[in-house]
Amino acid sequence: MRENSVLSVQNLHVVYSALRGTVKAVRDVSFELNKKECLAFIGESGSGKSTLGTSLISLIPGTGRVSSGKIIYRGNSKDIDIAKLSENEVRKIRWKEIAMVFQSALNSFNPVLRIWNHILETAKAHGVNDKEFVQKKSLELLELVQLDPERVLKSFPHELSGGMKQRTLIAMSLLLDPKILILDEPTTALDILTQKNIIELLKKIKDELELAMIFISHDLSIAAELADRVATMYGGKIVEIGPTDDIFYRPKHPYTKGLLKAVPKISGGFEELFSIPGEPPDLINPPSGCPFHPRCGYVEEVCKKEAPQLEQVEGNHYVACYKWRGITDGE
Amino acid sequence: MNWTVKLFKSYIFRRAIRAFITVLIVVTITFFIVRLMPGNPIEIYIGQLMSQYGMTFQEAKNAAAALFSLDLDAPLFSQYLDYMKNLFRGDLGRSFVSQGVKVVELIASYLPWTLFSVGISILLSFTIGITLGIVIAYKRGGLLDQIISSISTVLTSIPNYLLGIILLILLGVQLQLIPVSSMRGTVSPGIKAGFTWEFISDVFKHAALPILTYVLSTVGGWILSMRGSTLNTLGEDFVTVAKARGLPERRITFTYVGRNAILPLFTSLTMQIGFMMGGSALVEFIFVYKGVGWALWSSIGQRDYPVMQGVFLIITIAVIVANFLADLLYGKLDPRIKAGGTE
Ligand SMILES: Nc1ncnc2c1ncn2[C@@H]1O[C@H](COP(=O)(O)OP(=O)(O)O)[C@@H](O)[C@H]1O
Ligand code: SF4
Ligand SMILES: [Mg+2]
Repeated sequence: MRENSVLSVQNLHVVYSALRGTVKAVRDVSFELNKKECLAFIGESGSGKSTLGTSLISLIPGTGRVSSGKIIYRGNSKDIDIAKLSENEVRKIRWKEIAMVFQSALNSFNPVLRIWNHILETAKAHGVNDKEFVQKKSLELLELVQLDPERVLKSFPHELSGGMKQRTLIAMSLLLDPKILILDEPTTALDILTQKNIIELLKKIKDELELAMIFISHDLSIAAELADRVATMYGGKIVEIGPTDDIFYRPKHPYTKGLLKAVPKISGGFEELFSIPGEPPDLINPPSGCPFHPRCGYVEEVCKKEAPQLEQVEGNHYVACYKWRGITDGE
Repeated sequence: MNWTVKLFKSYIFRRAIRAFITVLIVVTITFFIVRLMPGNPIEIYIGQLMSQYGMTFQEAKNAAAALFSLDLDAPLFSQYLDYMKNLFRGDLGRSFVSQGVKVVELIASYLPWTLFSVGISILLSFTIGITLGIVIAYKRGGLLDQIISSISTVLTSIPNYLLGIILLILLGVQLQLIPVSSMRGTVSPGIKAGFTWEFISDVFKHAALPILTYVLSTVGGWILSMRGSTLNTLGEDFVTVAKARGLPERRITFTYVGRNAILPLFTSLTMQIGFMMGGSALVEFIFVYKGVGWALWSSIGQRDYPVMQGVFLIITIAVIVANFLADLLYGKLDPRIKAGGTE
């Protein structure tokens, strides 16, 4: 584990047991998250982003479980493998060390509790019993996310709009000063204008606070606004990872290039929306070799036989493709 | 007064108005049905007086009018107004059979027993039902879940009077486990009412079989509804978020899952109250438990129409009042009701 990282994921595999067989949702994923860094995971729906995100706090839904690999979290000087913790141990890490905000903005709160009770019980669950402190802190945080603190605190969830709820949840995620904040499609359920506001807000948080972020999105353009580094996921694997500019302007993986074209360019007027032909892979029987080969325009025999490993392009930029040298920048 | 308080007040107010109007409608319908029935009870009574006491029609009619404090020559509508006036004074007329006894007094002696046995049953059944329901929902698919779910399904499909008869035959006659005959009635003769162990235990002993019948016939429904509702709630995002917030399992189970899973059951609870009050006629008859259900049953047998009408009215009012209380409780438990303004 590197000196300045807060999280190191090593050869992580996550599987679900389904009736048809084992879903290999995350396959051999390794990455490091640095202090104060924002790392974005992008990819089509079903590529394993949420599974990866939830595995970091041991909250994989349904039958999902880590089948092998390590999730090393660097707490205060001590390294902990989250995948090996008991439910009660990991409970203490959730929110206090690693907070996660989900896409479900409309339904994140218990309908029968006021926001203030949500905040108070969260603090208490982590041994913070000083009511006055919690109140002062939540006023500050709600102010930070540009809400009317007094009003929000005494509201029931149904009295707030979707955007307000998501802001509130983001404010709440900062309550215990976590070292890592995971945001899984935090704007997807919201309208365009609210989406933009939330992204601005996240930028502000990133600049003002000392925390590392993992930002999950299917939308590369949103991720690019926020992230220092971007990782592209395909078929449960990281197929490319590097500094945002490299990924955005000089992508080397054919799938990343495809994703970029699939993004409607806000500046470009009526540019045609391009989408990658073919279906996302079946994760019960993933394709042999490179997972992208059934849809790849550059495919060769070797691609079907063995999966390419991540190779260094330059600096921090890595790609898993046999043909990356032949892939030019731009079109 | 701030606006939320106002809204809540008006919620109660609207519900109260609605309850009152329902009672009025039911009273009106019962009045006209009884008056317009072929062989109307008052004419039957007049006929009885004429044949038994050899009165003339006019004498009999005057006697009947005096007894029921009704002017029988008046048009139907003004009779209705008289009836309503009496009703508002708390006068439901007098019994045919136990002549001279006011229906109100009869009902006052029967009603507490029914309210007691049905009330305790609903409380027991609801509590047991939601507890078992949430437990088996957490252990879904396991052995316990399969056993309890199957038993519940069987129980819900047996009508309560049938269950009562089965209990009577099985426990009382076949196995001779319980002294059925000494459990008849509402209290044993010679026991003084009061806050004594002797009285209270005797009351429970007599109510035991009706209560057991009510509980067994309804608990399965609660278990299955709570199981389903809990499974739905477990899939809600706010439960996942609560886990992500590191809340302790117990807090999530009670405040997040349990509390929200119960809410949809309140609609059934209000229906259940009516069902049980209505069903009390047969169950009380089977166990000779002298509540209003029993009174209704025996008044039908003896064609004691004023009592019938009165009991029917009281059951209706009890159901409406119970529904009203259940709705109020629901409004307290679900903050969305107050401000929503949909109810
Ligand atoms: N609860 C679950 N049970 C079984 N399979 C699941 C479950 N959740 C997700 N999956 C499967 O895991 C794969 C990755 O899903 P997910 O992590 O949600 O992807 P993403 O967030 O990128 O859309 C998909 O093939 C999906 O069908
Ligand atoms: S390895 Fe082959 S199939 Fe896979 S992305 Fe590269 S060129 Fe395409
Ligand atoms: Mg997802």
